[in-house]
Amino acid sequence: MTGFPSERIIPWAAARSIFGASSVMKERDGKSQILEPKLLSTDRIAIGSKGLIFKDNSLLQAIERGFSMPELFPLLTNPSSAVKAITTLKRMSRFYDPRKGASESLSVILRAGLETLVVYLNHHPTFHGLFSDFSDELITFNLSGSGPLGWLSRSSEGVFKAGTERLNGTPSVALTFMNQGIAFEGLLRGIDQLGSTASGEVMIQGRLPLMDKIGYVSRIAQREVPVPTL
Amino acid sequence: MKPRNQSDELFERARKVVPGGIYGHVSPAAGLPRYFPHFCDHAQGSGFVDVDGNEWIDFMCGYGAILHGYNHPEIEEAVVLQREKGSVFNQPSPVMVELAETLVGLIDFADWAVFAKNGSDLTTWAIRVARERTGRPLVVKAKGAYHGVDSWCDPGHGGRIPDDRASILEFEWNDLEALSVIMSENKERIAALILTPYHHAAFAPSEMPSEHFWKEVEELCNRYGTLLVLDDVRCGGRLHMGGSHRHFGFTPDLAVYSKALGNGYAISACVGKDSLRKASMEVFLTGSCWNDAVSMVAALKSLELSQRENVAEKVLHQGKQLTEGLEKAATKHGKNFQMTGPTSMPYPWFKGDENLFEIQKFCQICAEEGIYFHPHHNWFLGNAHDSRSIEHAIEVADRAFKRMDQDETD
Repeated sequence: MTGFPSERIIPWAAARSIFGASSVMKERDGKSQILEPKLLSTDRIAIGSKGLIFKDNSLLQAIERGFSMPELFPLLTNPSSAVKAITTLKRMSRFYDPRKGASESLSVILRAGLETLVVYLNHHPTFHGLFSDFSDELITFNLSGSGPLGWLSRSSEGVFKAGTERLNGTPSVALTFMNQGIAFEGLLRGIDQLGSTASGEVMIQGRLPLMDKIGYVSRIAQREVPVPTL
Repeated sequence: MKPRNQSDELFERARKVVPGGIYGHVSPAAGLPRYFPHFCDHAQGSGFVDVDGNEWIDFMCGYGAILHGYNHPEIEEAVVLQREKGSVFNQPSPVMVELAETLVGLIDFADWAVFAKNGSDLTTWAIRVARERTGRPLVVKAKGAYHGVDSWCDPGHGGRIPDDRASILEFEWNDLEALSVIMSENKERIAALILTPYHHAAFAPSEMPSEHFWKEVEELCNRYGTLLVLDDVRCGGRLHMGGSHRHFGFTPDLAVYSKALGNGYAISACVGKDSLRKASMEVFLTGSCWNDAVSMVAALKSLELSQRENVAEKVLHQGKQLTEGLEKAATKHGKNFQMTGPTSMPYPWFKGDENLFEIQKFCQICAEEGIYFHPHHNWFLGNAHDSRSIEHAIEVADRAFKRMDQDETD
């Protein structure tokens, strides 16, 4: 978990969030490309299998502003793959529109957020040792009345993973959004960690200290890593 | 579910003007937010009434601050008399001297006392006194132990820089070997070892000191010239009248008290040995209302009651009735349930419930019947708990243990 270049954590987290969102889109519609990112040796990240390579800063700009220039050579040599990837990215940004807040959108943006969080949990030097009291853990995120939206897990070796497929097993801690609107607002703008459980907007059951730490890291990631704008 | 309209309305108002609505250890998020009330209206003896008019039998006692029961008539009478004279002046009131004399008389190793408002004010000050006396930088504490809100020890994560904890070393409670290694590897660099009388971490069962723990701690401190600071903020008054070190049989160099000291009036005290008197004068100590005579009078009266009614022994005895009753009821329903820690400050624990679902369920069911059992923090017994209130709590718990099983099969 050490040795990850700290200046690349934010762009890598953003790239992984694209992967997370595209994975759920693929699960749901069967046609979206899964945009698995690759960290290239210098300050460049490949999005998807081929055709789309961004400089770290350009990738962040592309997410934040909706447009940024990828590298030309790979784009010109693999135009069809690059166009498919760009189409998926464009479709992805629509899931962040609160006016369209369907449960499908929730899974997409939750998974994107969880993948971002996983990068911070696994690689951010500030959080080393924060989870030393924990072992094999499963954290689930649910929507009241609909069931699970996604999960985060920590292995006994300390590696975090995220997913949206259904898992068996008892969670260490479970967070449940009371309705879709609250979930959307919480995932996009963050959860009021003190007020939301008191008001009943969110229910947290189980190992609270684990969720407290996860929440702290997620708020920092949410502050630092851009999400798509419309 | 109990009515909670007023609680919720007030909370929404609070949320607009107070970040998070309610913060700190009393934040609803730390307990059972939809089962416990957010706001209290009034309290008397061992019970309180929330803003929706729901009555509760309380086993948190203001998180330990209430030792003699809420609104105790003798304490309130003394407070009213002092309030007529005034509270904060340009000079301290004579009651400061009286209170310091009382503490020095009560606590066997104490030669002096100083006062502040909260535990944190003086745990932080005490380690600075230790640094001043020894000329050393480091402080050792037990991992997970709570010593206050300052950045060297707070349990939160925000607003901290690495330097805040650069001088703090930690060992696992009761791991004397690890402590010994820390002490020997850092000899002549450790100013203070700060410890609570027993390990009362939140979200985990309490751990009593092992048989030779305190004897060996004292030996290590003597060997390496490290000062032993007792954080008796939470336990003070509930284990031994003369300080919790007497309950466990050791002698610290400095000890800090707060919580039960003023029976709900904000006051804390640090007492120390004569050898630390000069160092204590070098470390600046003050606060806007720290000479508040009202809270000092409350503390004096509270200490008088504790002595007169032998309260430390009484709450240990009442706690024994509660903990034995709960464990018996749990066994009857096949629950592997144990009350950990001392009986006057018991922490409930279902074996194998590391993720806390069972204790949360148990406390939720009890809350529905008006019993305020906290799932994540040690409880507190007070002098106002009588056999009747404890018996009632045990009856409710008995039903709760039964319902837990029923809910599981439903």
